[in-house]
Amino acid sequence: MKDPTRRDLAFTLVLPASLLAQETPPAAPADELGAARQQIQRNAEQLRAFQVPVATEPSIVFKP
Amino acid sequence: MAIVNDVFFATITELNKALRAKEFSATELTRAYLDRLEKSGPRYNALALILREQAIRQARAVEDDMKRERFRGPLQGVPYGAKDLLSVQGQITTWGAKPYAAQVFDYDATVVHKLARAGSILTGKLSMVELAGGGGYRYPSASLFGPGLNPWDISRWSGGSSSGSGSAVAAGLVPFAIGSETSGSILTPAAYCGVTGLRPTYGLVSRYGAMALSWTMDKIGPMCRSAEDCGLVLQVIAGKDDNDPASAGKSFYYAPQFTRELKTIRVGWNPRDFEEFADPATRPAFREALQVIRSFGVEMQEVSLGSLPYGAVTGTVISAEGSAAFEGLIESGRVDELADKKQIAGLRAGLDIGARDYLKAMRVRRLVQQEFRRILTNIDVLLAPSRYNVASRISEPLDRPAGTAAAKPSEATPPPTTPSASEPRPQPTAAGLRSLIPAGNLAGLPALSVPCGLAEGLPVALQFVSRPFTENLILTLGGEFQKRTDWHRRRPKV
Repeated sequence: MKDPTRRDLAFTLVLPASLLAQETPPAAPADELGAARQQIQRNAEQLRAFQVPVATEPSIVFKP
Repeated sequence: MAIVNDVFFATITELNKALRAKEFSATELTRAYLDRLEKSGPRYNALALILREQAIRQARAVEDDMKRERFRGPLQGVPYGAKDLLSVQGQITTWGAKPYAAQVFDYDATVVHKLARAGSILTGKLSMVELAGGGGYRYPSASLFGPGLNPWDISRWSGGSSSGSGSAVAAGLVPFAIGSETSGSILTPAAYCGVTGLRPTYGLVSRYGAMALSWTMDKIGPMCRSAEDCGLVLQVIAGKDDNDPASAGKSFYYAPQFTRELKTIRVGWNPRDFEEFADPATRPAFREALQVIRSFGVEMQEVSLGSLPYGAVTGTVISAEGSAAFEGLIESGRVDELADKKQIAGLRAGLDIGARDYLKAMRVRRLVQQEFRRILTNIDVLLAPSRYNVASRISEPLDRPAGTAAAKPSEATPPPTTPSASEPRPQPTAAGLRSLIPAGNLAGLPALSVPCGLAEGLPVALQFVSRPFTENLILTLGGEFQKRTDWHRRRPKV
C-alpha cells in the first residue's frame, strides 16, 4: 500500500471530524448470521410463550 | 400536439379523456413518457429496464383501435411501469437482485397480460429492493440498482421494496405503476413519495408471474396519482386466476357511487398514533388531515389493536416462507452475491425455522384475523398514519429500534403479553394502531395510503384499512379526502 501523500494528509486534516463521523454509518454486527439466528430465536421464544386456545387452527387452507 | 409538463402529472382519467379527444395520440404520449423515464429514471435509480420497442408497438396497436373507435376503458392508451418482480415475456426480470440479473421468463404475469388487454402500455420495469427484502435489509442500497432515491429530496430514500414504482409515479415518469406488498412495500414508498398506493385484499389480484417472497402474504397492487386511479387499475387487474392457487376467485368493480353515505361510516383511530408515535415534525400535517376527515361527518371512534406478537408472527412467516422460496439460491451459495449483508444472513437463517415455530406463528395469525373481525364489527375503516416519520436519509440504517427515525413498520410492535386461560381475547394495548401494517398484512386486509401533507418538505400519508374485499369503501374515503385537499396533486421539482 502506498504511503499517504502530503495532499492526502492535508485533505484529512481539513475535513472536520463531525463530517467524517456523519459519512460513516453505524457498525453492523460482526456476526450477521449469528444476529439473524438470534432474531429468529427471539421470535420463536416469544411465540412459544404465547398461549393459543387449543382449538386454534393454523391460518392455512388446503384445497383439494 | 406538444406534450406539456402538466401531462406527466395527469390522472388516468385525464389522460384517457385527452387521448379520446385527440389532443395527442397514444404513440406520442408513449414516446414522451419513454423519453422522460429513460432520461430521469436513473436519477432516482428507479428504472430497471426500458421497454421502448415493445411499448411503441403496443401504442401503435392501441392507436389503431382508438381510430376505429374500439374503446376498451379508461386505461386504454395510458402508459405504466411494472415492479421488476413481474415477468414480461422475453424480457429480463431481475427481482432487483444480482443473481437474477439475466433472468428471462417466456410468459407475462397475469397482471401484465390483463393491463395489455385493457390497452395500457408497459413502458418499463421499475427497480426494487432485492428479492423484495425478504431476508430483512439494513440499507436502502439493498438493490441491484442502488438505493431508491426520493424525487422530493434525493438524499432521502424512496421507501421499499417497491422503490422505483414510488419514485417513478411521484416524478411523473409513469402515470401509474404496479407494485407489491408483503408487509409495507406498497404503503411505505407511497407514503414517502407522496403518491396514492393500494394494497388489495390478499387473493384479489393474481400473483401468477410475480416473484414469490411469502406465498401467504404477497399482494400485487397499484401505485397512482389518485384514489380514483387506483380503483380504475384494480378493476382491470383483479379477478379469478386458476394459475394462482391463492386466487380468491372474486372480481372488483370500482363503484364509489354505491358506497354508503359518509356519515354512516364508522372510522376507528387512536390519538396516540398522531400525537405521540408520529414524529413531532409530522404532527401538524396529521392534525390538519384529521380535521379534514372529521369534516366528512364520519363517526370517529377510538380503538387499539389487541396485544398480540405481530412482529414475531410476521418475522417468522416471512422468514420461513421467503427462505424456503429461495432455498436453491441459498444452498448454491449465490445468495452471497446479494447487496445487503443483513439480507444474506436473514435468508440463510430463515432455513433454520422449523415446522413447530412456523405453525405456531400461523396459529397466532388466526388470532390476528379474529382480532380484526372483532374490531371491524363495530368499525368500518381503521385510520392511522401510513408511516410515523418522513423518508429516512439514504445513509441511515433502516433497522434502528422502534421509535427512532429509521424504524421499519414491522419493528413497531406492542410489548408481548401472554393471555391467561380465562382471557382468551387479546387485551387492547396502549399502542394504538402502531402495528397496523404488519397486522393488516397478516390478516390479508386491503389498505389505501393517500398523501396528506408535508413535513420538512417531505410527504406524509394516511392509511385506511377495511374488511376483506371492501376496497370501494377505502377508495371512497380516500377519494373524498382528495376532493377536499390537493396533496395528491403536489409534485416534487423534477
